[in-house]
Amino acid sequence: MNHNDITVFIIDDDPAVRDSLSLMLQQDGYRTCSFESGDAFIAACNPDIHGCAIVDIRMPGMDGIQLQEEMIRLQIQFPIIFLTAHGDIPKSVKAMKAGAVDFLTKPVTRKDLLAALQTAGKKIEQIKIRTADHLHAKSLLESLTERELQVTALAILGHSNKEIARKLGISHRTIEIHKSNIMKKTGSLNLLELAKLAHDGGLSD
Amino acid sequence: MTNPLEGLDSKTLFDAAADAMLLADAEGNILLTNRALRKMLGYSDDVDVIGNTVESLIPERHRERHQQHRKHYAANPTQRAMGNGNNLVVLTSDGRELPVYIGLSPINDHGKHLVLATFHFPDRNQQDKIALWESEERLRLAKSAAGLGVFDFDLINQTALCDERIRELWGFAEDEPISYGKLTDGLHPQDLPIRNAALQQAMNPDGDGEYQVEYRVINKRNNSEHWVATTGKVFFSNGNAIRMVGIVRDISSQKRLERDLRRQEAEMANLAKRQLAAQTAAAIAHEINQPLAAISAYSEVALHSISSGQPDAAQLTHALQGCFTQAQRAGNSLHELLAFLQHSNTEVEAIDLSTLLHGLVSSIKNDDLYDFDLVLELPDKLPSFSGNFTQIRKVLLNLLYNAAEAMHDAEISPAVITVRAELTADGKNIQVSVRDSGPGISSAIAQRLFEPFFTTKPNGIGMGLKVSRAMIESMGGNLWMDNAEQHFTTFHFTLPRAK
Repeated sequence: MNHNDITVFIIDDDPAVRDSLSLMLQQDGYRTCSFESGDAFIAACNPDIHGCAIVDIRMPGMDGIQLQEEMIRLQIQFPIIFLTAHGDIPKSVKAMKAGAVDFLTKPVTRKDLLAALQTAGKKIEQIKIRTADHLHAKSLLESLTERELQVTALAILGHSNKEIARKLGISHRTIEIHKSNIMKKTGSLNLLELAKLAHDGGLSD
Repeated sequence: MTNPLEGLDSKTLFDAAADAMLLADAEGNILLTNRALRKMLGYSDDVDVIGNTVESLIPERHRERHQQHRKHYAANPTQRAMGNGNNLVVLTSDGRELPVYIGLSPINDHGKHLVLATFHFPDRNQQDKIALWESEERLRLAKSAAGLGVFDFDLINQTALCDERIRELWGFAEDEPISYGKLTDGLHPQDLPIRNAALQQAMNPDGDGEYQVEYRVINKRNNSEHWVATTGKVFFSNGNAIRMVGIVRDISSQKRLERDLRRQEAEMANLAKRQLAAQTAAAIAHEINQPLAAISAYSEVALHSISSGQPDAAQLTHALQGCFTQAQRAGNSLHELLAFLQHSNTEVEAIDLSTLLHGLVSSIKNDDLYDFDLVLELPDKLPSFSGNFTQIRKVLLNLLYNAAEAMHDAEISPAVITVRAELTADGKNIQVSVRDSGPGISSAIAQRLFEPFFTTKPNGIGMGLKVSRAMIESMGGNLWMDNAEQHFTTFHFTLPRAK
């Protein structure tokens, strides 16, 4: 199999576990990269890298759950597969709720791990698409003037031209001109498409 | 018929009376006193007292209270007999205080309310009796408040004097004669040996005669069971015990509290044990699981490599070397962990088995979670053995409770545990045997008894026998089970004889 486009990051404090899992995944065509702690991984990571993380839930220093929280905070959108020594139910529930792909008990089998990585691969694709949409929308929104952005924000909330004119203290006619320019610049055919673009580009957040 | 009193004035009659009397008005002013009263109080003439209030005749400290009493009486004047709780103290003219009983009679003279007080001065002998009665009354009240029963045995004539409280506790009828034997009959049969031992000790003319024991009494009337603490003293004459006096106290509620407390403690201890077992298991899991995870992954790498048809020798070597190293690592971790867990400084001393067992018996008796009779078969001159006191106690308790629980679950009655001890044939060791009268142990279970975490009890963790054996072995002895007899189970352990 060929998984050249995905790097699997293995974060576990045990060198033998890192080594054996790396070997196993390399046999299956994955590119692997190991770290002995969450801190070391965070230090080496940036949001532009795409990949997936296999994280031991119990580690000295930052544990697996804390690492997950830190990754969310830093907007590192990696699917995470957690490994645990013995089923830690409360932690696993929390981890799954925060978007973990799977929760595997050590010793983990090749079959389970590869299945989890399959799921992770699909997630990575979704993340990539989302990221591309985001970048595209962001660039389109960047072409708008400050005033046009104000008009966009009010329009997608469902305000009429008249209301927008009153709120911004400019004439009804000027709003119509702004709107026409906005639709042209963003290539939107209607208000619904503009709203999706604003969402993807992070304007409506 | 002529009236024989005709011509006598009332004052003459009043003066002639042998009892001391006083007439007062509703406000408490003295109107008249008779000669007997004046004589008693040391006044020569009426004029010294008439016109004063009656309070002038009593010590100052009682005056205010007396005024209150008088007001109460004026509101509801009735005839009150002497000694009807109205005894008080009066003052003589030279300031002495005399105890007195008074009787009060209201007189209604044409709408004028008067009170006639009659005084009765008890003589010295009677005063002593009153004092004695008061002190006895005080004792009786104190006794009843404390729930104490009093007994007094005449050990020569074998008679027993017992009070109401004892009748009540034992359930004797009100007029039923009580004998020493009848009191003994009321005891719980399991507590008789302890009672008898305490009694024997108290009767020893060379001892201090102190008698102190706790036992259960089964009430004859309603079959209820009460824990009773007895404290007494034996009196001797010419080296013979002649009399024993003492008190009994119902300590059932105290016992109940103690038992509840012990049960809670036992639950806590059990919880702590489980926690400890869980922690130990977690520690083992932690030590083992990482290498296992690596071994598992390395093995799959090797398998995958071989099954690919073109095994990569370097990769295969790497994977198998990893398996080997990790298996070694797991083994070493385990040895280190076990060494750490087993490390303990146990002090070894010479121990007398009979002292240890007697101490144990009283602690088990206080702990009536299980009912069983304990029979000790110890030779007279058993040498001491060497071991750690706490650990041996722990092992014995463990064996006794296992036996008690097994008999309890099998509903065996009477439940008897026999503890035997003897010197082994070579004279080097002491062998202790604990035998129950229980249902025996099936050979399937017997084979697994000493396995860790094997248990037949719902709340057990299955470490008791395993730990007991480890402790005995660490002291240089052996612990094993003897299932030869079909109906009983016997556990034996040996310990080296003390040097």
